Amino acid sequence: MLGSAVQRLIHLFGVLPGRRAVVLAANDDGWRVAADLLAAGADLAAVADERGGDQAPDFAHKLAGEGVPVFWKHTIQSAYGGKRLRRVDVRPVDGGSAITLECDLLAVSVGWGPANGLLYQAGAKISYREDRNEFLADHLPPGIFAAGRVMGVHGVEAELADGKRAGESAGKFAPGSLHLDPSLRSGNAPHSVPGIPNDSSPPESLHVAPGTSHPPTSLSPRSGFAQGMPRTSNRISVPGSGKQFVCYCEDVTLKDLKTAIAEGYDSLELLKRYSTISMGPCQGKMCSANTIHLCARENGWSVEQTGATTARPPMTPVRLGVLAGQNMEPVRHSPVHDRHLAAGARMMVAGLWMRPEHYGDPQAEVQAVRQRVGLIDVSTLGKLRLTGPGAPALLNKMYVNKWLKLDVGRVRYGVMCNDEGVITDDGVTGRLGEFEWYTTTTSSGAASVYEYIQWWAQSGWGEGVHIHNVTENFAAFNLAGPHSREVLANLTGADISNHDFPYMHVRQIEVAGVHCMVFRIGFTGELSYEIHCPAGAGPHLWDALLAAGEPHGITPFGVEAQRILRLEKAHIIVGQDTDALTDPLSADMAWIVKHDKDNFLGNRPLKRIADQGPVQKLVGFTMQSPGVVPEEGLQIVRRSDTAGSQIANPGLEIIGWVTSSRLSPTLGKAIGLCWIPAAMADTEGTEFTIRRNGSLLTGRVHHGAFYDPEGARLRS
Amino acid sequence: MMLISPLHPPLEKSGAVFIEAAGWRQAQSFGDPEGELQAARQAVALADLSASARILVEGERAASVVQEALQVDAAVLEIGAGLDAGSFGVYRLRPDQVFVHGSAGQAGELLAALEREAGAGPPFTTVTDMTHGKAEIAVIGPQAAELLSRLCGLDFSEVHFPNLSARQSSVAKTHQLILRHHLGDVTTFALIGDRSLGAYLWQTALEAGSDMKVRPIGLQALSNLAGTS
Repeated sequence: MLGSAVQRLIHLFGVLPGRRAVVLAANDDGWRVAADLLAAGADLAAVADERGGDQAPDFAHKLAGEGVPVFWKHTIQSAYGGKRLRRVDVRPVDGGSAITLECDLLAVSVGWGPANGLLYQAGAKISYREDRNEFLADHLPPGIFAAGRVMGVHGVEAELADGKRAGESAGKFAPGSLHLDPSLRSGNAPHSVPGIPNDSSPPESLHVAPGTSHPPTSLSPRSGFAQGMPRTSNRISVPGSGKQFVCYCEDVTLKDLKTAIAEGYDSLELLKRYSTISMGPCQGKMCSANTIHLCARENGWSVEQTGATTARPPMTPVRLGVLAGQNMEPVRHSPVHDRHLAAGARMMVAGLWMRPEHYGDPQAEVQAVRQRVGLIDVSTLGKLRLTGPGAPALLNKMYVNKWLKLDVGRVRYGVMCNDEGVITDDGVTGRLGEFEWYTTTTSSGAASVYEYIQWWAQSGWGEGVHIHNVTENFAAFNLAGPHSREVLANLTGADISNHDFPYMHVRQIEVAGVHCMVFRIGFTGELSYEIHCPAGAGPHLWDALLAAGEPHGITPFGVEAQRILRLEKAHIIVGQDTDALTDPLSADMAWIVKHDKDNFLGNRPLKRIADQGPVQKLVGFTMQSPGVVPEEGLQIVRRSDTAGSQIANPGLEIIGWVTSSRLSPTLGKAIGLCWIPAAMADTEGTEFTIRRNGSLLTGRVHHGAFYDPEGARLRS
Repeated sequence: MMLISPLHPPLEKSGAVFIEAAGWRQAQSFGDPEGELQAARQAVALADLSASARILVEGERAASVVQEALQVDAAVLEIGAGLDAGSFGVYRLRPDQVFVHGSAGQAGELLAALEREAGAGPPFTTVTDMTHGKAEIAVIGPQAAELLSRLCGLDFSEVHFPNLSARQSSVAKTHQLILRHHLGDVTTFALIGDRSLGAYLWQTALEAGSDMKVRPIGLQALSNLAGTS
């Protein structure tokens, strides 16, 4: 146990850590530990001092004269015991036979390791002082002031005096000081950096026993300390046959270090990373200095050449309570979040957003949309505003389809790929004016798509275009269902007839007194209007739409109903039905890839895939047993002789997986999307096998939308 | 129709007394306007300024468009510096981006003037009304910097973040444009970030300053503060 720990237990906690102690000293502090143990009632088996008697202070000799066995120029060879210490072997430092002493405590005071981590982090230059066997600061950066043991000053009164000097220097340096001394702006504060007196002697004459909360014992001297005496031993290890632990936290031994260095991990930083030495709870406070010496010795370098490892925060361990402190987990609320709560929505987490999963009965919500009218909050959609003459050219490069000839007032669905031809996002873009375009992205893709477009714009494709992420500027609601036109007509004076406002068009009109962008698009497969309004007007518009829809039996619907509705139309959800390898050709969207336009992201790999043909394809499916809904993620398998050794699927080969599946309330049967080999996918009705909990289910390939495959309803 | 702030739900929970002002439903007070004023003057207070006008002007001509349209010396502003033009403020965020910050209800007027000037000639300049896309929380009082230091790594000292200047940083893990614009002689920072994160940030700031007795204040206290000289 460290001598300072013994003193802390005695003086701060009133605990005597052993009844019969051996003290190993290499400085006067060890003798103070011995004195404190005696005063506290312990029996001293011996004090072993690595120094000679001529280097010891008077009070040590006085202690020896009172009958304490003293071994000058001796050290500890070995310690023995199981659950507690039983005995130690003491032997001369220069070799020779050992003496065994019975004891239950070994107190060690052989050196001081200054807690200079903060100084390292502050950029101080810290060097090894051969004369003191310590690492001490010899240059401080401007504005950094240090005092006490990190500067080589020991002893309470000396440390207080040193601290006073450092504090005064810092006060003069601080902004606003009336007496700023320019010389203090240098890293070498005048008092001590050097900090250690020029004669390198610590101001020990004022030394008192460590700890300030207890009176010094009669043997704790206040004077007479030998000037210039090192307080830290340079004796790092004692030859012996047993294990010699260097790092007590990580159980790294001297042999481990030697082996690591022999294997080539000779630099201190490499040695640390390879052996994990100094990486335990004490973070090197116990072992760093010894490790540096051992590394130097094994390499034949000086300690200065060996250097020290980098000190990083935290300087002291951080309590879990601190880490678990204030909750800072951002959460996004839509402009009508409180409306959802008031309506009894069951909320779900979607990225950072909170969204209504449903309002109690998602199947009923689906039927309301199919038969009457429904309203969903899609404010979470990403929204980008592109302005400038260069916008269509940029869109043409970012998306796999064409944008150069889209007329003002028109809307087009787009698929975005990366340069490997992998689908990264999809959404619709409307041309609002000659030089103004408005693009929606998936809810989860808002930030990444914006950054992605910005990246390419700033890499040479952004001539004549500005891009703004206006996701938060607008609330957006999708009014969907056969009665949606009637509901909207109640709130606007604009002509929204099918003739004047047809499918895949956008209009900027007033709705319930709010200037809105209205997109006639149809993710749900019904006649629908996606209404974007200034976010602050969102609650007003939401309330107005629900009120206007009341005579038509309007129902708010959530994400779950929307997923069913889109699945009935076999629309994909990027990230749900696609993964990090999915290209649009394999996703059965070859129709959207326009190879007859100028270069675009994914052009070359998509051409190659088109030439070779997809290996896997995303297709719709129904089930042989219509009421059985296979869970998303289930494997699609086929029998294979070569797969007989598979443990999970004996005799079965995995050939695909289910990405989406639901029981369609509209169709009254299970439907879904899945990935299967292209050869199987190409033929409508092809049967395949889904493995579910050990049983095998039969699915059938379905091409096109399950519901209204001609798209008549959304164009009505 | 009344426009609703993203902070409306938490303000309501805190007992706000609402009024309609400049087309927005805004918190007039939280029942104790004098106490709110004292909190802002002596400790730290939060106020919802989401109704403020916020307009971003982008393009090579951004600064000169603002200068011509609003008759202010925007072109000489360094990056991060701002100016107070009385009813509105102007901050330069990038060489090609200028942020115009006005009072509630002023967006239309500012937007019209800026768009008129932006359309005057090439190269093209984009004027974007960000008013509805942002939540704006004012952190007011002598302890405002201390409260913000618990949520953000920026140095909020006046030396490094002087009055009438703008910084962008993470605050409680959200991206915020931070303006320092004192109300009268009282230290004030405005946190301007995504609207959808407003309620979260409001609650987080209240929690962070609970030991400092941080409290929400309404328009009445704000108005008195702004009149302080």
